[in-house]
Parts: sequence; structure tokens; C-alpha cells
Amino acid sequence: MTITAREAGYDVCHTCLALSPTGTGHCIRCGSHLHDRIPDSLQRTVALLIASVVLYLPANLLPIMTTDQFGRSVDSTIIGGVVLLWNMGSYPVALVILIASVLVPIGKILSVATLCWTVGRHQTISSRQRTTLYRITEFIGKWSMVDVFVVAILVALIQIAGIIVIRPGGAALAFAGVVILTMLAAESFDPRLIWDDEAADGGTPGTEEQATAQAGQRETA
Amino acid sequence: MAESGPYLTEQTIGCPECDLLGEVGELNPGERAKCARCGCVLSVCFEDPYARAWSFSVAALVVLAIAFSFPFLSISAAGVTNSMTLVQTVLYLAQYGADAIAFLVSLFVILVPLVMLTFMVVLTTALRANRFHPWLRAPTRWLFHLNAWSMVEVFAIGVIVSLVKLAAMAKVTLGPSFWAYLAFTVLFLVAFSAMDRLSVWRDIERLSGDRR
Repeated sequence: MTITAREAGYDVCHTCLALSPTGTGHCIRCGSHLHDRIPDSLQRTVALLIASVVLYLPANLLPIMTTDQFGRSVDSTIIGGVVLLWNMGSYPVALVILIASVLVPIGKILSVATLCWTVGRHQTISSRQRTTLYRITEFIGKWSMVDVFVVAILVALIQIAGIIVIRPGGAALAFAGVVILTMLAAESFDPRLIWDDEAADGGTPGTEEQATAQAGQRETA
Repeated sequence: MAESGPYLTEQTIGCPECDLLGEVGELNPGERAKCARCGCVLSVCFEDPYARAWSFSVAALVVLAIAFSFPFLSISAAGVTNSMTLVQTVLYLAQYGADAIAFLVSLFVILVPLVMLTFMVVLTTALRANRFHPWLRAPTRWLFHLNAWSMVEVFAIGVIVSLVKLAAMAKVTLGPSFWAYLAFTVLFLVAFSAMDRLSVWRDIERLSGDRR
């Protein structure tokens, strides 16, 4: 049985996985709103992605926090913070911030763009690989929020009047915006679009997974 | 196509990631069902999942209450000591003009997890008693969608990173709330991991008697 719900005339519920006849509108089991595919999935995803790229600029150019110490104000940007930590010798923390605040957001933007670009085009990356890319993107989404939380904690904690005060900068909100927008972009991308190509290419994809396609494999964790 | 096509059984479900139909029957504890085509995990079975989710959720609520009641961290620099609770974190942020950040932090770190825990306790209490009330349907749907926006574990890492940054500027003392929040993070993650969407909705379907 290698047939998709769409071919069989059903919509899959995203909340409880039940099948409802196409056009029912609401899941017959849990009542969730149903659609065959997320409406305008690609347009929505690309729009959110562009918005996040635009916000990514102020997020890196503006200071993420300002430290007032002994009457002197020092602004620090995201990259500046990483460099500072590295020079202080806190290599693991510098790496955490570098990965969470620089590599993950850029990686997410690129991978969502790749997913959108490859839908409906002749593929060099297999559907299975693209699904893995989608899952990684969804999983790492919230981790870039680390830096925003760090600023929040520092601002709240370092308030010793007259000696040292830390204030949040414009980049903190811009960066939170980037994280939220990329999370929404990943959420509005419908991974079923990846697999719809396979069906359109002439039915059965010639991969070895198909040999065991008595769907619903069991495995012992 | 008729209401139930020729190849559909009670156990037929659809993969939410690639749309392939599949059969998932009763699983034994420790077993997982994956989609044959894309490998998406469709269902995971735990030993007595509702007892597990219930007890870990209640424990998480208790340590969260502790985390709210005591100082989180205190720092000393130049002879001045400043100690802070979780609620003060949010209040200070709002005071320094970062209202939006204060709102986002409290939403992702406190509000969403708290709502999820409350839903989990109520839902698992009902399911353990083999009961289901129709008004639980909507909160149960939200529970599974809210999870993407709970950033409890991210905040925990953020706290540890800030400690390293702070250690360079001042003397930092960890308060009881710090340990309580770390415990909350672990308990919350374990509690939610026991909530398998397919089993939960199949049990609800069985308890409510009819499909609607």
C-alpha cells in the first residue's frame, strides 16, 4: 500500500494523524482545521523569509546591549560579544553564542530558501534528504533565542546604580524578530510539497525504502 | 471516494510530513512507529504514559512555584549586593524600556510552559480516570501546537551563558530558584515527551464513544 492520502481522497490531520474525506474542513477525530496542503505555503514561507532577512541587518548592526560603567558607555553587537568572550578565554560560551546567534539563523534562512527553491524543480537532493533538512530546521529554530535571553538576564541582574548598568539595545528586539519570523517560516512550509514531486514524476520513486513500504514500520527504541 | 475506502482500516493513518497512508496498531512500551517513506515518527509508546506525564507535570509545577518564590541569582560588585527573582527579571526589563522583550521572555519562558503544564495535568487526570469531557478537546489540540513555542530549555542554556559572562564582572551567588528552574526544565521536558499525539487522540476517541 504505497498511496498517499491525497490520492485516496483524504486529508491528514496535523494534530492527530486521522484521515478525513477531502473537503470535510475539520478533522473528524479532533476537530482541527484541515486542508489538503497548507494554503499558499510557498508564498507565505518566502514572504516571512524575506522579512527575516531584512530584520537580520539591524540585528547585527545595532548594539544588542549597552554597558554603562564608571560613567562610560560601551555598546556591544552580537559579533562583538562573541569576540569579547573569545578574547576572555571563554571558548565554549563564545562557541555557543556563535552557533546560536550567527550560524543557526543564517543556516535556517538558507535551508528554508533551499526547501522552497527545490519544490517543483528537477532534483539533485533526494526527498528524504530534504525532509531531514526540514526536520533539522524545525528542531533548531528556537535555539537562536539564547542571546536574547542572555541580554534579558544581564539587564535584569546588573543594575547597581552609579557603578554599572546594562541596558538592552535595539538589536535584541530585531534579533528576537528574526528568530520568530524564521520559526513561522519553517512552520508555514508544508513538507508534503517535497514528496508531491515524487508522485508527479511518475508514481514510484526508485529508492530502496520502497521495498519495505508496507507502511508503518515498527522499531524498538 | 466513499467514507471509508477499500484499503482503510481502523488503524490507517496518514503521515503528516509526506502524506503517505500507513497502518499503526497497538504498540508495546519502548516501540516506535515510523513512516515507511519519510521516516517521520508517527507514534511512540511508553510504559503507563499518563501516570508519567501526570506525575512529572505536577512535580514541574511544584518546582516552578519554588523558582518563583526565592532569589534566582545575586551578584556583588564594589561592595554592593543585588539579588533578583524571576519576576524581577521581567519587571526590570519593562522598566528599561524593553517592554517587548519583557513580554516575549515571559511568554516563551513562563506563560507557554505554564499553560501547557496546566493542560497536561487536567488532561492526564481525566485520561487516567478513563473519562473525557468535550471541553478538553480544544486545549488538547493547543497543547501539541504550543510545544514549538516553549523555550524552557533554551532559557536554561541562556542562564548558564550569562553566568559565565557575569563571573568576569562580579561575584555571583546562585540562589535556590536557579536550581529549582533547572529541575523544572528537566521535569517539563520529560512530562511532555510522554504525551504521544496518536495515542492521546485514539484514547480520547475511545472515551468519547463516537467520532465527530
